[in-house]
Amino acid sequence: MALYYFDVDDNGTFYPDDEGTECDTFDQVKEEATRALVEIIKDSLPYGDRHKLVIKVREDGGAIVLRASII
Amino acid sequence: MDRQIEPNKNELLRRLPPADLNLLVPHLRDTFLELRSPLETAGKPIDYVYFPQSGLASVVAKKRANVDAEVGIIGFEGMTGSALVMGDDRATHDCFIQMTSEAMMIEAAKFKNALDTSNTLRPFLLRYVHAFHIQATYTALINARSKIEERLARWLLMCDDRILGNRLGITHEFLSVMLGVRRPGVTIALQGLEGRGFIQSRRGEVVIRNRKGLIDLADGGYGESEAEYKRLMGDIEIQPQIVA
Repeated sequence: MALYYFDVDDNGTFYPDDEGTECDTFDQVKEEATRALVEIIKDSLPYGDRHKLVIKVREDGGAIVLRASII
Repeated sequence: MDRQIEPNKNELLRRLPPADLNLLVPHLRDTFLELRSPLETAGKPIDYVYFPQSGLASVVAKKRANVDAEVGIIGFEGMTGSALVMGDDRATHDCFIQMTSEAMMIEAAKFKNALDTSNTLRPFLLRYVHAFHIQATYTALINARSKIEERLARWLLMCDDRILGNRLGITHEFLSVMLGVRRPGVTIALQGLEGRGFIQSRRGEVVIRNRKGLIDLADGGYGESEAEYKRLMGDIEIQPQIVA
């Protein structure tokens, strides 16, 4: 069990995560990030021709352990 | 010594005819419920019925651990134990305290006796159970068809209706369960509402700044269910908006 921070870059707007989420395994981190991408893009995609959404996952120490994106 | 019972702080108890209220009063007692106190457990018999006077209880449906979503909100306008009113004795979903609550509680057996003794208590409470069911049907519609921001706006309004003041003590993680949305989506929605000046979001707290704005943004998601409650039960005293 470790704390991970999911920072979102939604078409250039940055949303830092200051609470973090507990994840048991790295697979869970990947699933959280990908499912979150899909949930967020579902709301914003129909409103522009081009949209780039990135989620960067930080460990407690600050190192980026995962970068997931939809363009 | 006579206990002081204040039925006027719960909308259902306040509206009960005196004869029905008198059936319950000898068995009602005051209680203070801490955050996350379990009131009902899925699949288990219901032990007590709670009539909140303040705070909030949530009914949360769960697929498995950490895969859950809120399906009902209960505050001073309602009660737990809907299943008992409909003739069942067990809970379908978990119900727990989401914001600390003062409530009147009664043993399920005593509550059932009162339902069996009176010809008017059950029909009255069934109208509330129906209103509660209507709330759940709107939750289903909104979860299927509304954007995260709209769902968040509706949820914040429903909480604001039931609490004193305009500060909701709530973490992103908790909101994530309440809305059935992963945390990053909640964070973006909160900042979206804050960017419009409708709320102030701090760590562990959301302050409502503009109810009208939230209602408009909810795009019909808020209001229908509340109007149905009023039609079925009568006017509810919504907490006054406080604008800084």
